[in-house]
Amino acid sequence: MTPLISLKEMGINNIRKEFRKFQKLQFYDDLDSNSFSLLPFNFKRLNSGRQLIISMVGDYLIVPNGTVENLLKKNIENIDKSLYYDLLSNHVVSDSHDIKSLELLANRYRAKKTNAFNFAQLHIFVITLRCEHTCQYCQVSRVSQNKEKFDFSHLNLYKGINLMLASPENNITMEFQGGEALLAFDLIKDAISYTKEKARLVNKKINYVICTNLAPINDEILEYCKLEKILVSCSLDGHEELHNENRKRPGRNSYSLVEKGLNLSFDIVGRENVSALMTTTTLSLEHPIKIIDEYRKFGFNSVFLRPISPYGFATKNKNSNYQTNEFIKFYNKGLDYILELNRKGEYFKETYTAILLKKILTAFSENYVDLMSPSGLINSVIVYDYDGKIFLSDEARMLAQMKDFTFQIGTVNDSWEKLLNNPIIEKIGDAGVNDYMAGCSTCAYNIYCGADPVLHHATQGDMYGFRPESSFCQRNMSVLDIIFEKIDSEPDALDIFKSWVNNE
Amino acid sequence: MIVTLQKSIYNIKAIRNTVYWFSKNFEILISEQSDVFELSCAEFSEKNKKEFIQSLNDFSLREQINIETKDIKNLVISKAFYPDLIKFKDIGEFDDPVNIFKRNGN
Repeated sequence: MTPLISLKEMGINNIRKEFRKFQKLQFYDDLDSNSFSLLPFNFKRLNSGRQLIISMVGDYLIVPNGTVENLLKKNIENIDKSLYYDLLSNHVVSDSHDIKSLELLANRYRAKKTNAFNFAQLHIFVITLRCEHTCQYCQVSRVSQNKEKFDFSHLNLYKGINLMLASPENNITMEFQGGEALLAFDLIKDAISYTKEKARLVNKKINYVICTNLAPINDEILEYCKLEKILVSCSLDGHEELHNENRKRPGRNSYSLVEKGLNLSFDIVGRENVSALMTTTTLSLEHPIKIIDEYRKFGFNSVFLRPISPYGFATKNKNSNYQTNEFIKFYNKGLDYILELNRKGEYFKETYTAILLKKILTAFSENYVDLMSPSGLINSVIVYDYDGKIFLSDEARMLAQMKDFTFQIGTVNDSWEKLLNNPIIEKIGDAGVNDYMAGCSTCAYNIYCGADPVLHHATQGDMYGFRPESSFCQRNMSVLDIIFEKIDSEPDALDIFKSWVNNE
Repeated sequence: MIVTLQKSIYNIKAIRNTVYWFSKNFEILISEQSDVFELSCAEFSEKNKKEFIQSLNDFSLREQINIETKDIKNLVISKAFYPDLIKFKDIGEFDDPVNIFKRNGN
């Protein structure tokens, strides 16, 4: 029996010793467990009949049916002892009446929402609108000539770079997009040269990325990329027939150019500096396995099964209009195949699933704009368009191609003070936080999800959006349902998912 | 079809949350009597009603959780975003997760 001594009598050194030492097992078994209180959590029902409980910081537990009801009624005798300890350690219940025990929860919440404390780290420069492809789903208008009109002017480019360097983050990614960015390769070289010189003065680290369809790539460009440590991000939609159908160009040879460009890129800049991205069209929906195999063929160990964004020209094309449930079938089939590959010993992951898994299985979040709440606009990305306009996201720029300038905050001629005083920023502050939005605030998945005011404005004419008809909501709820159903019903799925988060 | 719900059992917030998700496919009107809420929906079948009630029961549980935990949630979020504004403990003070102080009579 521990003697009763007061805090004062114990003295600081004795208190320290008392706290450091391991107690007998019985000590921990005898916690004040008969009077627990609930911490904020939400739940869903799984197909197995079990309940999925998710804490306010994203810890989850799959528990027997009736657990939520027992917790609310404080029926501790109906809750298994080991389950009770799981509920305690996963911040679903608390047996402490001390407000200080909430300190950890506040720190965990802060870690989960860490993006809200940042400014944009990704600065996208649409260096030119020119492109020699005429992809039917392309979200932006593309033009093939008139360099003067559709390339960044040097003056605007340097003003944009000055703004980027005046922003608060010290570690910045500068991404060159198009059109086809490499059609303005000389301009990219000028931009990087200017940025390097100026970044040195303000002690900022800049990472460079060029997004390209690989058609114009050659040894000279890649040697430059190697020299400047530029990452190459390319488009690969799948096997040859699909890729060429999706990504049309004179000669119908987009795929063979990608194949040649990828192999050349691997040789010169190294496989680790090259990534690929696919877009799902109606034509892709039947071929998840072929698409995944195409990525494996090129030696990639991941694929991002990415739906089309409902913006720009994509909304006008028959190959871009499909229902979210069709995409979910495609995704599910693809994920099943990827899990089978992992079961056979091949490390391969689906990127969107991995982004969500990081939120589910770790204390942190991925810096992915769509799945941020508060919204990743401003906090994560800024886009400088070829004509000097500044937008809150790439999707906002696509909307502007349809003459909707709602998310344009100004131009490169403005100061940050003026740009950030744009009234749209305040509106996004409201419409970009899912904790307090109809449909989201009561959703068990909201800690893993985002708000995406741009998509809801584009698809529903309302930044807040009506969740029962939101493609964003349907997609994310379905993907999360699939992930948790797999964790619940497939014994090895969790181990595979953990390996994706740990990159091993 | 009219669904009658006792006010003493069903919280209006839980009812509204359920109606919100069903409003994609159904037009549901809520009216209030002295001790009941009446929900009328011309398109409801028995199957729809069953699904609605199942969903309502879950939203009722969520609302109970919300009522019991909303103060803690607000406190945690406030602390997360303004760590210096709300002090849970002084610097150097000990947390006592396994009640060592309490067992020593403090």
